[in-house]
Amino acid sequence: MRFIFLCRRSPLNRIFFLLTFAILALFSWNCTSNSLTDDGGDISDKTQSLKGYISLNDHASPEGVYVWLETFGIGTYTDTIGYFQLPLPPPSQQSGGGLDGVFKLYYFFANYQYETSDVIIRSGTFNPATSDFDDNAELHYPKILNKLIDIDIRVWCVPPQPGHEEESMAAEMIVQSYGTPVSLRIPSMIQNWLSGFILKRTKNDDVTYQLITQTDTLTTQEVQGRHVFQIQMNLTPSTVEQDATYQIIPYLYIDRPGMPTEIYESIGIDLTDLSLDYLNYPIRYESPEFLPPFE
Amino acid sequence: MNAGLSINFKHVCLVILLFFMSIALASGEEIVLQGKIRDVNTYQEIPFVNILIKDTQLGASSDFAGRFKLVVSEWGDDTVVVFRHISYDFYEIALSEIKDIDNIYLQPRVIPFPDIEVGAKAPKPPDIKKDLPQTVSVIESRAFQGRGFVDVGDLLKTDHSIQVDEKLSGKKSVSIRGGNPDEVIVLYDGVKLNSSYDNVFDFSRIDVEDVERFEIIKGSNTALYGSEAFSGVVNVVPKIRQDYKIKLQQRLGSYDSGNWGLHLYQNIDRLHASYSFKQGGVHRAFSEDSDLGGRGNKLDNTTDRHSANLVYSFSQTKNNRLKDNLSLSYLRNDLDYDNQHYNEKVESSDQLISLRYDGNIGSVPNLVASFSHYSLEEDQTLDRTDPRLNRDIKDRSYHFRLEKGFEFSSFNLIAAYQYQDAELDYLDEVGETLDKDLPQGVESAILTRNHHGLVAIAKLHAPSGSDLIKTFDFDISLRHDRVQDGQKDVVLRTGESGDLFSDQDWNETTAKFSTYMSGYSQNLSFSAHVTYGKNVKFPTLFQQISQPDFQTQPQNRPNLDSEKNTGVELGGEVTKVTETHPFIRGFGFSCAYIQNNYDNKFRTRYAPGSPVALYENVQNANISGLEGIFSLYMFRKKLTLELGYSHYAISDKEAFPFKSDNKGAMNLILDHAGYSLYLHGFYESEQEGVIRSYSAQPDDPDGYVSKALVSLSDYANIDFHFSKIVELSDFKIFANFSVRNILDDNEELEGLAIRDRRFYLTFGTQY
Repeated sequence: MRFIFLCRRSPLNRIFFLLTFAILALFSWNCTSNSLTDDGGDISDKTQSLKGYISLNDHASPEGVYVWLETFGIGTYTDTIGYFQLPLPPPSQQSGGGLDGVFKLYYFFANYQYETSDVIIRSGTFNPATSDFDDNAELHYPKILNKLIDIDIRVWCVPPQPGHEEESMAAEMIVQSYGTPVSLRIPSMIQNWLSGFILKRTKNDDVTYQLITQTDTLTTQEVQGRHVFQIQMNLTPSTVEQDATYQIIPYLYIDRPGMPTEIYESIGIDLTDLSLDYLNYPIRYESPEFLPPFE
Repeated sequence: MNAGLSINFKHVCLVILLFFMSIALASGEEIVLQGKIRDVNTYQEIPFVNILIKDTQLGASSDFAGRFKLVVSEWGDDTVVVFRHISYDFYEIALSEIKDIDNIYLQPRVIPFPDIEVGAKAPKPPDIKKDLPQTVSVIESRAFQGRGFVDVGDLLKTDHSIQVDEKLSGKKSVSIRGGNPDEVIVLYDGVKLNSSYDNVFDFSRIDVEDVERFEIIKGSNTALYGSEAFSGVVNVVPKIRQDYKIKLQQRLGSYDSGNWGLHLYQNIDRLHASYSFKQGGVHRAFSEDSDLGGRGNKLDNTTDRHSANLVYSFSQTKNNRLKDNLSLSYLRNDLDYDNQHYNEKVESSDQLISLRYDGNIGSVPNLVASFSHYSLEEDQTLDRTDPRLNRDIKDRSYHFRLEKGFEFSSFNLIAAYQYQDAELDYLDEVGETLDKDLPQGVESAILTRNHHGLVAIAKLHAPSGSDLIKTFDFDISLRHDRVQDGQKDVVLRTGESGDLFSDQDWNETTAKFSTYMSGYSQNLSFSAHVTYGKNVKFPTLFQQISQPDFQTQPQNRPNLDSEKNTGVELGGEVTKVTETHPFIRGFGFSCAYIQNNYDNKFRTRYAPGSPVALYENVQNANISGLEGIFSLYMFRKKLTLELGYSHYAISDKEAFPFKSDNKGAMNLILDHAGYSLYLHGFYESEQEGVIRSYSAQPDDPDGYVSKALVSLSDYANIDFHFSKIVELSDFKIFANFSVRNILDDNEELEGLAIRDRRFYLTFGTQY
C-alpha cells in the first residue's frame, strides 16, 4: 500500500492559476509602458547652452558682442541687454560621440579688449569645473570688456564752390584710442582721403547697403591718441534719392593680436578683401543718420 | 492520489489516508516520504539535499526544485531521517514525526561543510575555480532572483569594488577596481561578448532572470579567460533547469516604464528546454525649458530579448546533478533608442549561438569544448541635416574553445586552446561640415582579427603538515597569445583606398604564479593567497584605425604596441561561527591588497571637427588599492549585514578618468518566512578626471596644452528591495517592490538626471 503525504495536483490549483494568469493578462501583462508613472519631462539639458551677460566698461549698449567657442567654431551675438545663449551641439553629433577638452570662449567686440573664459567639456557636455560658470553653464558675473577706441563719424554739407557747382556732403572719421596704440586695417588712402566705406540708405523701411570704394586692398594704419580720416562722399542733389535717409558705416578692422583668425571665418568675413560681409563685424561707432539737405 | 478528485472528496480522502497511515506505521508496510526541502528563512527550495535513513544504506536526494521522494520499506519507532546539505545544518527527525510535514526547513550555515555529500563526489566547482586563486565572487541566483534587479548592471553596483556608469541611452559600463570598462571581460558561459571594435560591453544587455550565477573575478589574475582582463572578468552562467513550466512576469516603474516576460521550460527525460521572451520600454522626456527646444522632447528606449537553452544530459550523478552536458544556447537582444530632442536614433542588436559540451567523452574525462558565433550590429543615425551622421558597425565573430583537465595525485593540470575569428564591418559617414577642409580617417572598411590562445594551468598540492591547514597549493600558469589583424575594402574619407595600418602579427607569452592556503576547523575557516603575474592587451580595432597624436609629450611618443600589465594581489578571508552567542551566529572578514602597474597604456582623445581619434601611450601608470568586506550573520542567519569598503590610488587620472577613489557599501539582508528585504546603502567618493585639449592659441609655452581637473561630486544613497513569494502547491505568485536612490530625488550628473530616484513594482506567477 502506498501513501502519499502531499496532494500535488488538484483542479482547484489549476483554476486558481488560470485565474491569476487571466488577471495578470487583463490588467498588466505585456505592458511596455504604464500610466501610473509619467515620463517626468525631467531630463534637463540646461547645461547644453553657455549663457551669460556682457557689459562694456563705458556703459554703452552691450548689444552685438560676438561670443565664440574655439575649435567647436560656433558663435552668437549678444542681444540688446548683453545676454547671450550659445547652444552646444548634442554630444552624439560631436566627434567620438562626445568630446572631452578645455576650450576657450571668446567675447569679442572690435573696439574693446577681448576677454575669454575656459569651458570644460566632458563627454560632450558642459562641466562646471572652472570658476567663470555656475552649474547651469551661466556666467557668475557679467564679463566686462574694456574700451580700446572710439569711432565717430561727422557729416556736413559743403556749399557750391568753384569747380563744384553742386552742393555736396562731406564726412570725417575720428578715431580715438585709449592707452595702447591700435593697429587698424582700412581701405587704402588716396590723397589723404579714406577710399572706402559703406553707405546705408533707408527709405520707407527699405534698407540698402552700398560698398563705396575706389580700391580693393586694405592697408594697416597705426593709431595712437586721436586721428582724423577724411571721407569723400559723392552725394549731390543729382545722386541722392528723395526722402531717403543715409548713414555712413566706417569700414575698418581693428587688429587684435593673439585672437584666433578662425573667429573671423566664423563671422563670415575675410580680412584681405572688401565686401559687404563686413557688416557682420561686431564694432561700435557713432554715425548720424542724415537727410541730405538739398533742395 | 491523482488530480481527478473534487475538493470535498479530497478532504474525505485525507482522513481515510491518515487512518490507513496509522495502520501502516504499526504494521511495517512500505511508506513513501515525499515533500519539499526549504531554507528556514527564505523558504526557497533547496536542491541536491541528501535524505538518509540513519544507520542504513537507504537514501535519496532532493531534485532541482527541492522535491524529494523516498520509499521506506523497513522501519520502526526509532527510525530517524537525516537531511544533509553542504550549506545547511544537519537535520534529524523521527520518521513517525515526518508524516505530517509537507515542508522540511533547514537552517543555513555560516561555514559550509567541507565534503559531506553522500554517494557522490562534492559538487563540481564553478568553472572560475579552475583558474588561479584570486578574489572571486560567485553570486548565486538565490541572491538576486526575485529581488527586482533591472539588469546585471543594477546587480553589480551593489559590490564595493565595482563602479557602474549609465548613459541616457540606457547603456551601462562597468569598471572594476579603478580600471577602465574596456579592461573587463564579459563571458556568457565562457564565450567572450566584448565588442571587437573597442572591447567594451554594454551590461544592460544581460538580464538577471534565467541566470544560474554570476562569476566575478576581480583583478588581473585570470589566465583561463584571456590575457586582456586587466581589471576583471564577469562570467554569466545560464540556468539549465527551472522549477516551472510557464512563468509570466510584469514590471512597472518610473519613467513610464514597463517590462514583461514569458518563460517556458520543459524537461523530457534528459533533455531540458527553456525559452524566454522579454520586452520592455522606458519613456522619458526632456524638460520644457531645455535649451535645444523646437524639436520633440521625447526619449524612448525599447528592448526585446530572446533566450533559449537546449541541454541534453548524457548522465546524472546520484544526487540529481547533471553531468556530461551538451548544450545549445541562443541569446538575442534588440535595443532601440530614439532621442527626438537630439534627433538621434540607435538601433542595436546582438545575437549569440553557442554549442558546448562539458563532461567526459568515452574514457576521456574532464573535457570542455564549445563553438559559438556572436554578432553585434549597431546603427547610429543623426537625422539633422547639418551635419548628417551615420555610423554602422557590424561585428561578427566565431569562437572555439577546447579545455581538458588532468588530475594527478599531487597536482591538477588544465590545458586549453581558444580561438576567435572576428570580422568588423565598419562604416562611418559624416556630413561635409564636420571636416570640410581636411577629410580625415576611414569611411568604411572590413577589419579582421584572428586570436589564438594557448593556456596551461598547473596546481601543485603540497602537504600542509598541519591539522588546521588543509590545503597548500602552488599554482603556475603559462599563456601564449597570437593576434593577427587584417583589412580589406578600405575606403578613406578622401575617397581613396589605402591601408589603415600595417598588417599586425603579435605574439605574447605571459606567466603567473600564485600560492594558496586554506584551512578550517569546526567553527573557523580561513584562506589566503598571493598572486603575481603579467597580462597583455592588444590594441583594439578602434585603436588600430585611430591616428598617433603627434602633439603629445615626447616621452609618450605614440606607438601601437600592446599594453602590458603586471599585477600583484594579496588576499585573505576568515569566517568564524559563534555558536554560543544569543543572536550573532557568525562573522567573516575578507580583504585584498592589489598593485597593478601598466606599461604603454593607451590614451585616446578626439579633436573637435575631426572624426578620427588620436592616441598616445602613457609609459607608467599604476593603480594600487585596498578592499575589504566585513559580514555579520545574526538571528539564525535571518539577518546579514555586510560592510564593504575599497580605496584605490590611481596615478594617472587622464588614463583612468572619473573613477571613485573610495567606495563604501552596506548591505542589510533580512529573510524571514518567505519575506525578503534588501537594503543597499552606498557611498562613492568624488570622481576626478584630467581633461586636456590643445589650445587654438599657438603662443602657449606648454605645447599648446591646456588641462583641467574635473570632478563629479561624491554621492551616497540607499536602494531598497522588498519581495514576497506566495506558494500554493504547484504555482507561485511573486511580487517585488524596489526603489533606487531613496534619498535624493533628482541628483543631476552633468545635466543628465541619471542618479535619480526610481521605483519598480514587479509581480508574476509561475506554474
